[in-house]
Amino acid sequence: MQKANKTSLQYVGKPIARVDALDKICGRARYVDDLTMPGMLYGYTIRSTRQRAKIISIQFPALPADVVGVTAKDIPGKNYVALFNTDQPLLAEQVVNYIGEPIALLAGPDMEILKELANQVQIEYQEIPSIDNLEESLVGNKPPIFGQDNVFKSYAYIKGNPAQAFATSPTVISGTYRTGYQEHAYLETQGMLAFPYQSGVKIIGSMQCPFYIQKGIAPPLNLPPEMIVVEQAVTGGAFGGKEDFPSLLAGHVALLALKTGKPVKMIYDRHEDILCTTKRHPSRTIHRIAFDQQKRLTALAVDIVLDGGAHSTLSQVVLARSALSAPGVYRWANINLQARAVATNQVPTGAFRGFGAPQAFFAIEQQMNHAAYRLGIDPYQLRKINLLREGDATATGQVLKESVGVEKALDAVVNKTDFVQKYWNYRQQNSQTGKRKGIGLAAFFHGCGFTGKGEELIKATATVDYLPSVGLVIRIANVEMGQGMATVLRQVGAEALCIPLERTHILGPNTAEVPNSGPTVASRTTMIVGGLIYQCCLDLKQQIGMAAEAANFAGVAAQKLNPDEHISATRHYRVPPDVVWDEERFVGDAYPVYSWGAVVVEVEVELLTYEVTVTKLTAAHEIGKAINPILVEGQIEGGSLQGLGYASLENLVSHQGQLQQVTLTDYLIPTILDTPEIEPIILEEPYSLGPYGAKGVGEIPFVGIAPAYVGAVENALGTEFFEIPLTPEKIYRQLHTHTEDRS
Amino acid sequence: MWYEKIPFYAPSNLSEALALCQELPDSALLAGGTDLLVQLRDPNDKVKALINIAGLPELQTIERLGNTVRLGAGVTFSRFLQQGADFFPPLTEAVRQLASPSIRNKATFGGNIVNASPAADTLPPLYAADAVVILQSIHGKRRVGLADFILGPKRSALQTGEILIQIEWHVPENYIYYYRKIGTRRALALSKVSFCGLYLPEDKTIRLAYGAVGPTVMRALAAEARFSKGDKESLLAEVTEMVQPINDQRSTADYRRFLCRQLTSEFLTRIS
Ligand SMILES: Cc1cc2nc3c(=O)[nH]c(=O)nc-3n(C[C@H](O)[C@H](O)[C@H](O)COP(=O)(O)OP(=O)(O)OC[C@H]3O[C@@H](n4cnc5c(N)ncnc54)[C@H](O)[C@@H]3O)c2cc1C
Repeated sequence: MQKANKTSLQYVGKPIARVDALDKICGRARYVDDLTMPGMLYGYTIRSTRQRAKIISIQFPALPADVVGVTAKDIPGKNYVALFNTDQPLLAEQVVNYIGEPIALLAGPDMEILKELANQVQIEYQEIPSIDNLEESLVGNKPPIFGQDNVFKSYAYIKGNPAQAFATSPTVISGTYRTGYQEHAYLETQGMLAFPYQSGVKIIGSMQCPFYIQKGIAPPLNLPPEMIVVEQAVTGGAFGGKEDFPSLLAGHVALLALKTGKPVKMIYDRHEDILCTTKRHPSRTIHRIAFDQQKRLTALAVDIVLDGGAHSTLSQVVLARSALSAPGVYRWANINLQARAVATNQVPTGAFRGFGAPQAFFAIEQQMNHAAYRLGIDPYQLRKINLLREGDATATGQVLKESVGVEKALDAVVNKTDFVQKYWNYRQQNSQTGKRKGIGLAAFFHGCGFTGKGEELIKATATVDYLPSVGLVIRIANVEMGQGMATVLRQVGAEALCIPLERTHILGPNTAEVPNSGPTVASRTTMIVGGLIYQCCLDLKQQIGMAAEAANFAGVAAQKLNPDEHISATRHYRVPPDVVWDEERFVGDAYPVYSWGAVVVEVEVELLTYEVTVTKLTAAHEIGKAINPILVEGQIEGGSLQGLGYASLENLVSHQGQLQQVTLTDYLIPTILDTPEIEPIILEEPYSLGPYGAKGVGEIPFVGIAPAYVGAVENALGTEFFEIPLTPEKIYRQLHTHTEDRS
Repeated sequence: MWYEKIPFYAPSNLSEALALCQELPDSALLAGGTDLLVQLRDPNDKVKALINIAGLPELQTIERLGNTVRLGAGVTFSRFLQQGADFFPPLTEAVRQLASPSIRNKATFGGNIVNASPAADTLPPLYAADAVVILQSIHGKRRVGLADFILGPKRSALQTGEILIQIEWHVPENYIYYYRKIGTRRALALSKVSFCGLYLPEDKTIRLAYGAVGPTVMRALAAEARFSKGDKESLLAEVTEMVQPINDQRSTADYRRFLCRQLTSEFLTRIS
């Protein structure tokens, strides 16, 4: 792809308003809960009240004629939702493994009656000792939930000679870091509508990945995938929460629709949704890093454990990202890495913006913050000494050939905030009353697209059609969910063909009408699918005999095509030949390319109460090319704020398998009044294979916020912290149980 | 929707409302509904009818005569902020930090008091002011001290057939106050701890009220009595002994106890 000449671009790089905005602002957009059909029934789920138990019997009350109840026995095919493994049942049959696990379903015309009937369903259980948390899972003194050892997946590798490097390095920094659950609190709760369709079933709902649903529920429904037609309804910001879970819910409504022969809709209320849908994986990371006399990193030893909950879902790929992010943005000669995702009797954890990277970056960046303190150097300088630069190799040996903007990002936030000066000034504070200020820094990356062989396996396909009367029609399976996909990809198409934006269209994702361009996850849509669309557009030009750079596409097409004639082009994503990943040895090119970021968080800590106020957040992200800068700023602001919530206040804990904060009264996310001034800085180092140089931006704004935040609190208080969310309660506990003050 | 199935009465004045109250024993009074509608979703709730008292003219008093403030139970927080913000600044601060603009547009003082949550934010300033509530039924009126009216979480001395019509208190002369609400975030957060301290320079006494650290909002009467002795440490010890915070989904008992001490200490520093 030729390097785009900035001045010649008409649509790309322009802050064009989102094409879906007006419908949403005016309330015209139809979310799944707005849809009804004649004769439609409601569905309701009967869930486990036990953390881990054998199901002895399930007894329905006498059901009215218009109510249908189903259990696992009614599943026509195999009782699992297909993803990487087959361990997640569509409905629990012999055992339940978490509180909230679905056991039976009801469908009927009146929701209130369904709820009353659901209360009367009698389930007899026999308790099994449950595994509460990741530590217990590793101990292995209770019957395993998964396989022989409770480990869903593990990765491990040794590079160089870490043992020797640790033994001979003058400085070793170690710590054990913990991160908690996070709830997506997506815009609308999970919801799905299904009805018998042709000789199969059609599903409409809130989702990120229509083809995952089709593939996921074909085995239990015992239908060929093509007979399951899946269509996305308008979906709000989902943050990963609608990557894998919707397959389970879609399976439930489809089962009820096929059983009753009628449309069935199921919408969770917020309480049910928080109780039983996926969360961000809690983690524990034991971390050691060593430095030589020149403060260069010499060795890394890291042991990451993620709590995957009761079923494997996406844990193995989340774990891969954790493992790949664990070394951070630094050069290493010696590494000893172990990463495991383990089973517990808790709600399954799954995809969430950042996908395993935030946990890993919290650990490595906190290590760097702590190391800077102990080495008496500022955190910026320490990072500069060790930073990956163009031409360097990553931990897995991937040579970074182009588009490596981490140093630029780091310099940008540090200069903008006067970081070094403030850092040393704040270190001198010794007041015991009033407020203290703090400033914290983190640097990070996010691999764009699927990890490792993922893109090779999915083989994303995009098709475009051009009709002189209509313009460009883009057919892809990717979804708009408030992130701006529909706007950005139309910008790419309009630019490539030099046609007005209004003459570009995207078909609403429906598995019967679009090819499988892959799920809308992994910061891949703009870079991978946008790239395919760009290529398809060049193919169209070629078909009518135009050069790639030629401008007057519409004019030439009007001459060469009849008004009702159309041309089309299809492209399949191919991993570039020089991108080689060895999954077994964990060596090679883990991602085609990376986006890079750095963030500075500034805080004030009130000594009276340990309440922390974020006064300013400065975030620089190097993303290749901002196809639509205002949408990029939106991603940076939203991701940063979500990251602050994760770091500081989003507290979700489980007690004996029961989540304690299951309403939005108790599970709090930041409001606009908790939002600091956020200054986004967009940096562009074009990626030669991205459309107009673009990489990904959907997740990276979240990834490094937590360590920058905690680093700022540490700078203010002169104490090290190891756990998020870092609530005032935890600050209090730490300061009042450990008396040693390091300042 | 589920609430449409509950019979709904809309009296146009207080006497109609009092009559309905008497006739319909399993009914609930609906003011702003910001507590009630949440609670009614619980399938075990046995409310058989709703009597709407939102906007009843007799419950809209908002006045200050000399040092006496009278607030109708039906006054919404938004209206109070518009028309009564200068009556009693500690209460104004509490109301400003309560919930969000949309909730404040509906929620009333009467609902906040009768709902009797230990975390109800209007209560610490009203406890510190020694407020009195005025209750009315078809049989007449009675006055009860606020601290006697509230019996425990979600329990008050309101009797069947009674409506809380007014809250009344005397604003002391030249007082100094310190009010703090500690919540998880800056809006729409229930209190982990709330505190109101008043210093009355005329008689050199203090009043200390704490929210969310016991079954009801608490006045630290024993600690208040120690104030004249001038021993700050023993006063603070008295406070931390008295409060009964718990570990729950919002905070921890030890942090809450710490906050009670810290906020009291800050108040004492400010008045010394
Ligand atoms: C999102 C949200 C956030 C909130 N945040 C806060 C907060 O920060 N701080 C806080 O203190 N509260 C908060 N609340 C709780 C609630 O808003 C307040 O308690 C409010 O004052 C209740 O008033 P209301 O008029 O809505 O009461 P309602 O819900 O109408 O009534 C509550 C109870 O009081 C009874 N009642 C009402 N008026 C009378 C009367 N005149 N006589 C006799 N009985 C009566 C009702 O029968 C009912 O039992 C919040 C609520 C929500 C939904």
